[in-house]
Amino acid sequence: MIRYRSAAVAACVLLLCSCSDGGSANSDTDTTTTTAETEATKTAITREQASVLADVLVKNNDLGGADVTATVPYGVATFTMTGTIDWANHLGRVTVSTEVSTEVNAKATTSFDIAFTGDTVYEQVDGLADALAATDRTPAGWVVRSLDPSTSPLDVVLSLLNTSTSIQRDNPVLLISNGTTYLGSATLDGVNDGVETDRFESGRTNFWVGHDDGRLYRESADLDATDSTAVIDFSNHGPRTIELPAATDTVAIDEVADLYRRLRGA
Amino acid sequence: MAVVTTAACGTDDGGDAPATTTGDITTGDTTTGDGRSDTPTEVADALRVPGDFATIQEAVDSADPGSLILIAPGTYNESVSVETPDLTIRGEDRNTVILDGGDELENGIQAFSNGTTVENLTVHNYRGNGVLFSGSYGDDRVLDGFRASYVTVYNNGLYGVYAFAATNGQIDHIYGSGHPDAAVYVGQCQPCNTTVTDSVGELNAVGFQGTNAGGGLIVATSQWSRNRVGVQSISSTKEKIYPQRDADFVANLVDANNGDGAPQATEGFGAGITVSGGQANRIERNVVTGHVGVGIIVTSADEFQPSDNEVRTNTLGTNGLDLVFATADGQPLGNCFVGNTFASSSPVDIEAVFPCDPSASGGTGTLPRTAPPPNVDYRTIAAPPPQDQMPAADRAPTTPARSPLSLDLATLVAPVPT
Repeated sequence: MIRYRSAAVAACVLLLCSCSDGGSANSDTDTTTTTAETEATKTAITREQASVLADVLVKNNDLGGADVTATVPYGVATFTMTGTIDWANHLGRVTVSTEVSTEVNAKATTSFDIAFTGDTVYEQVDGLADALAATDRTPAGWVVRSLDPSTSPLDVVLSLLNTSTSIQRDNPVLLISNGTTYLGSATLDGVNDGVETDRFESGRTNFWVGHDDGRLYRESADLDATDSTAVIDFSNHGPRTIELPAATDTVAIDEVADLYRRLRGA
Repeated sequence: MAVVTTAACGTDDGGDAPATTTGDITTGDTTTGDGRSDTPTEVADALRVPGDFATIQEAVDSADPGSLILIAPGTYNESVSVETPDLTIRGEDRNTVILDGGDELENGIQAFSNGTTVENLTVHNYRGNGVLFSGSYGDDRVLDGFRASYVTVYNNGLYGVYAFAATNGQIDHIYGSGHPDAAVYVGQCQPCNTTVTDSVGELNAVGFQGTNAGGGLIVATSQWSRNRVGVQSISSTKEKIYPQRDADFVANLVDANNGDGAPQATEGFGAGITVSGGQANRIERNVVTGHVGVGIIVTSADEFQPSDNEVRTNTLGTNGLDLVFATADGQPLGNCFVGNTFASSSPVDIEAVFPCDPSASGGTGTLPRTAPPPNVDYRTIAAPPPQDQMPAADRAPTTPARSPLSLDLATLVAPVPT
């Protein structure tokens, strides 16, 4: 399909990650890891900083991939993704764990696997193969559907992962013109313990970029759907090989909608 | 592909936010009230590199407003930043005065001051842009007056010649190749009062692109060939002063922009001239041939609907579809096609459904589907052959960069294929 997208749009991929409303998307909701902020002042980025930030997504493409840990608070639930992403080929595979804490049920955790491409999501569904076989249909362990960020915070995060790479540098001029700011240096804890980073804010997305190597170590984005902040940590950068579920083990979600809802408990 | 949270994004300071300018200029014998110079500088008074200064930047830093910096043949591995008004940076020989970024430096020449002229030299292998003119680099200023003339730009990481938040400009006799974005880009200006003429862009992602650029913007008598897209005019919320409106694309040769051997910026390829979400543009007397997708297309972009665009008297042929109008609802919105020479369109008989009168019924077309050609590393594209020299570079005095070329659009003729 021929798609006539602006070259300039592609050139400002970082800016695509969230709306720019002039609001503050700061670290108050960064709950998954602690970060030692050595400086809290927000300043306009310099030309040199813009050049560094412009390199981040294309550097991801060049590096090939990384391990991923993402956390999104969602009402009384928190879902966490752990897995890998292949930036070069726009593939990912993660385990999604949902933890719900209520007064009645102190803690309940469910988990399932997801594989994804730039526009397709494969969800592993426990019990699906048996349920299909029980109705004389071809067994399959995965449902396949279109990636649609308008439907769930899960897909929003998958889209963030997909757009954390680019074949082209960002445009430093636009990064500056559109008000990208520098939030100071930060030493990461948690997944990337001890890594020295520089933190930038572009719209409602923050980027923690390695001070010494220019790599993207953390990204956070405010999500309208959940009124919360998704935090994604990238580690062990390097090429990844990710296999999607075999076609024979997948079924379109439309064909098993009722089963899917029942098995997911939705 | 874009993240959902951007679907309805805007910027508080975007839209119809008025452009700020540098204020009125008071002319005088030598300098204006704001420190600019209107007096031509003779070659005899030039600051010479490397004769007087070891580097171009040293000469620039020592120059008074209006100075001429004359560069001898050689390769200069530097990034030059200009913040003094009305400087002219000229190479003695277009093909042998070379600024080489070594795929390390950001921009070849970046001008933030009014009235900068860059002429008769070559700029390549910068990670950002070959030549950048920008008023807005951390503030909302609009650069007033610029000229790039007889400049060869190739294999830079973004644009060849890039004018952003700049007005009263002249871009002519540019040769640009091997850019993973546009050979020539004009963005975020209204009015632009800028002419792009007699230029060639080939083997780029886009030949010419204008984003939110209009008002006295004329792209004419140029050749845009073998890029992924030839000419693209677009409205976008990613830059200010949207929507794009009021530009002229006249008498260009737009040929075979199918992407083979050209670097990739987006999925777009196989299109000659695209107007995406623009308003009141005139696409006239262009020769548009040999595209696997479409010759000329008027379509929407993000939330912007195209309106009042006129596609007149173009000559099209051997395109997948010659003329296309494609929006969600097909409303005419004043867009019209008239007097074109074409063989195919979508919707069919496009000049009957989009005549330039109130009887337009509208309709929406569909696009052919074709697999995009593979990406090409822009750094691997072959250097261009020698290009034409600026006339009398060794003796011509400077001409202050104050305004675009004065063009009689009715007399312009598209170049013949080379």
